[in-house]
Amino acid sequence: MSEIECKKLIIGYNGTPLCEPIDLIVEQGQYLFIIGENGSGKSSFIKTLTGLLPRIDGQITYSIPHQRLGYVSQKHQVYTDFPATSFEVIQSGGLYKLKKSPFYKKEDKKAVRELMASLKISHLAEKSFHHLSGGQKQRVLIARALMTTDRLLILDEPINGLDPTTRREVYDMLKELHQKGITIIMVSHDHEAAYQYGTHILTFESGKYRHMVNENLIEDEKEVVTCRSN
Amino acid sequence: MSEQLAYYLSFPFVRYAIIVGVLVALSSSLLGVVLVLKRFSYIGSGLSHVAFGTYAIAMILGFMNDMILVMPLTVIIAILLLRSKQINIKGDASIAMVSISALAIGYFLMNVFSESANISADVCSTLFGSTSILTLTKVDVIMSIVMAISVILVFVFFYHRIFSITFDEEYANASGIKVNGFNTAFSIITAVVIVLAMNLVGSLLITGLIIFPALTAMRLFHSFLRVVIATTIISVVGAFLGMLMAILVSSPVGSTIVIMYLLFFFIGYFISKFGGE
Repeated sequence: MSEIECKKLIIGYNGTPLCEPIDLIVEQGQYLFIIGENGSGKSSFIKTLTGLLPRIDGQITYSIPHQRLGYVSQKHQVYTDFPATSFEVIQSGGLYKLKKSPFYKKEDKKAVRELMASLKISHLAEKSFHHLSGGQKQRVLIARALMTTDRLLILDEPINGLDPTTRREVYDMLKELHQKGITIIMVSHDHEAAYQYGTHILTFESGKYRHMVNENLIEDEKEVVTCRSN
Repeated sequence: MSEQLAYYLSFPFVRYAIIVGVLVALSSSLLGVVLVLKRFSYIGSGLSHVAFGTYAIAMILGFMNDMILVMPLTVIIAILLLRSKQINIKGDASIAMVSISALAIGYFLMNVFSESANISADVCSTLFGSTSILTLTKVDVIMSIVMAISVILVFVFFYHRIFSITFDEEYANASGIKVNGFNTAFSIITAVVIVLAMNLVGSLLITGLIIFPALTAMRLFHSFLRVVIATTIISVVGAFLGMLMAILVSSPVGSTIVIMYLLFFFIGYFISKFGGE
């Protein structure tokens, strides 16, 4: 089953295309890395997917409403000194659950706690978000995205500015989520990680794009990918 | 001293003033939480200068009720300012430009065209609030009550959406919240509160009502909910004590409340240094 299907999608700003028309299908269970130079259209592509950037032309079909994608954006320096606990931040990912009511129900709060426990970040619940380390912030933001979605995560350079150990922790967390069946789309500069973890790789370069299966995957993981593609 | 206070409180206009003062302070401080966090603190003083300019126009045009002209004009300018996309230096500069122009034009008009015998008293009371707070009518009181209740209701009903938009506008946008609609609504409420608050503290001191309680609360707490609750408590207690003091020592209401807030801020600062959350 496909999560996202782009047909002749043209991305760009103010009517100026950044790339040739994109035809792409992201199947359920894929771990797609998007790599390429700065300004090649990586971030614009996923901004278009999340609906933050209007598309110039073409079509995108989603398996779920695009408001229910779990998005982790690139910038989180904007949050300095904002009074918010990690719990409040993660809970805000479940905004769609409110519908018309002003408050969350008991089970919504319970869902936040369970999610935090499953991601092993329960101890951060009452901590102030802006006092967290870079890696902890990133995990909280991924948790917030998981409150919004239970199937498709879209991340824009989530490991930028993190030290190698913390990067590994974030990658491990994402790998675990992928193994649980969550589809992941991730923009990254980290080519090594792309070939290590990704099932598919999308490259943007000078107005062209290339979509390929990661041939480096070990055999049994490849099987998982093909099974899910069918 | 308590006898003196009881004596003053036996006058209905003093009681009205206290009710209105506390409610206006409460609404301003709630808006302040969002304005401070969105780095819009300056919008308060900017808009109050705009309101000063429109007051001047209303005055020389001889409007019996200033609100008819002042309110819509300030609301329109608020929408234009708060919705300007770039909230960086450019946004800052545009607010400064508009507000200072309004102040200059307002003062110019008042001096050239006003038929009032005492222009400097008019100007002073518009800038600093002065005694007009004690001449409130029942209509003013009802208006303030309605406004305060509306602001509180908006905060309660949209609390989680307000959090989401203030914390991360992009994420709120991606999750399908109408961020632009929210910003417009928020601009309108801010303008209304500022125009009403002008009666109380005058246009120069409104920023104090808006930012101080939120800044003090943020010293003490690191959770959004607690900051919001603490802000309301600080603003209500501060405004109440400030007004009592203003009545007792017959000082100007606006500056007394702001000084009270400043005191609270320092108390908050020391508590946060030696303990706190």
